Amino acid sequence: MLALALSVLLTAYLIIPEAIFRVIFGWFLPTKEFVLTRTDTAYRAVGISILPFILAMLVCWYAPGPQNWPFPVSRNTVQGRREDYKTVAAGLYSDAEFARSPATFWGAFTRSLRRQGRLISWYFLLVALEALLWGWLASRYAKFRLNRLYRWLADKFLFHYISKWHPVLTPYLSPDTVVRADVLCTNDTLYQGYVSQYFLKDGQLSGIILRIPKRFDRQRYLKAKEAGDKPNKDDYWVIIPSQNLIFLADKIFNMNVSFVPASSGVEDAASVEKFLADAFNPLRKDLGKLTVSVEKEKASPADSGKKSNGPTKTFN
Amino acid sequence: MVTSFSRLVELMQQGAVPPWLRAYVESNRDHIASALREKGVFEFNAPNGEQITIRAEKAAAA
Repeated sequence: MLALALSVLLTAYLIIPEAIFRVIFGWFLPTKEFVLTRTDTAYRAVGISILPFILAMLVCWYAPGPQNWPFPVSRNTVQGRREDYKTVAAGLYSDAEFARSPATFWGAFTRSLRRQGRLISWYFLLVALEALLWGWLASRYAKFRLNRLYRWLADKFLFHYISKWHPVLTPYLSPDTVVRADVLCTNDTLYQGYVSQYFLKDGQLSGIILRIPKRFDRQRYLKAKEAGDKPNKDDYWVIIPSQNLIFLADKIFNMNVSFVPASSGVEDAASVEKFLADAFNPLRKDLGKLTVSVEKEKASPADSGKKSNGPTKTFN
Repeated sequence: MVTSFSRLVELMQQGAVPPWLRAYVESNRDHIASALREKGVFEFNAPNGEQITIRAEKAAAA
């Protein structure tokens, strides 16, 4: 019986808080998706829960409100609490102790349960708050990483929970960039595009989606090379008529990742035209087909060095 | 990257239309429509300074 009680306590005080932390932290950044060993889980659970546990104890013992809320207990004194826990522990340990006075045991058990319920309520709340704080801090690594204290905290605590693919495949470290990937597939075809999403299975990359994908026309390039020309590699990328190209990880031989400045401009006029056609569909009869053209910024002496903060419109 | 189902659906739907352009068109729909109806053309600048011109085939020809 005592072993069962200890298992319940272990679940309530270590395993559930770790799960709460993981879920809430995962709102900010993807947590590693692999099954931890028991030692790993226990070690991390203790690391996560120690501070909220101490705070919850202090709150339940000394804070005027939480001292008796939720699950209030009448005559909630330190002495009474100790007596109740002694009675419960003795009753769980020995059947003879339990049989001596079941009514006393059940009274003490109910009060202990209410006290534990109160402690756990505050404890879970504090774990959730801790996860919110850690998640918020972890998601701002690029901003705070020069701070030594932050870096220490990040190395010791924050990054244990972040997927190793996150900094590789997202602009986590350089928020003003986008991730461009050259993906060499197992069939020897090279693709290029901007990483828009990736998927993990048991901590390993299982798939990746590239936006605005292109395929390298290697055969045409080699032919041009054999013909004695000096072909420019950039001219041999063929745009794939797909907005999102999905790769399964087992078809990827290797991947070259680079962080390039994010363009806030229009990269694909055809997509914009389609979007506008949908947006102005009710006016299609009056307006006819909508076309979009994009001109690069015309630098003028007055505009040089001036940075636009957002789209501004001008009417012809 | 937090891949939620709704984020993925949004991604598939939006294609390569930049989010700012989508928001801009949606919040200025009436202005754009009236300019296209009256003049057949509407111009505005992207955050990076690119000039974007929308032309309406029928209105421009009229």
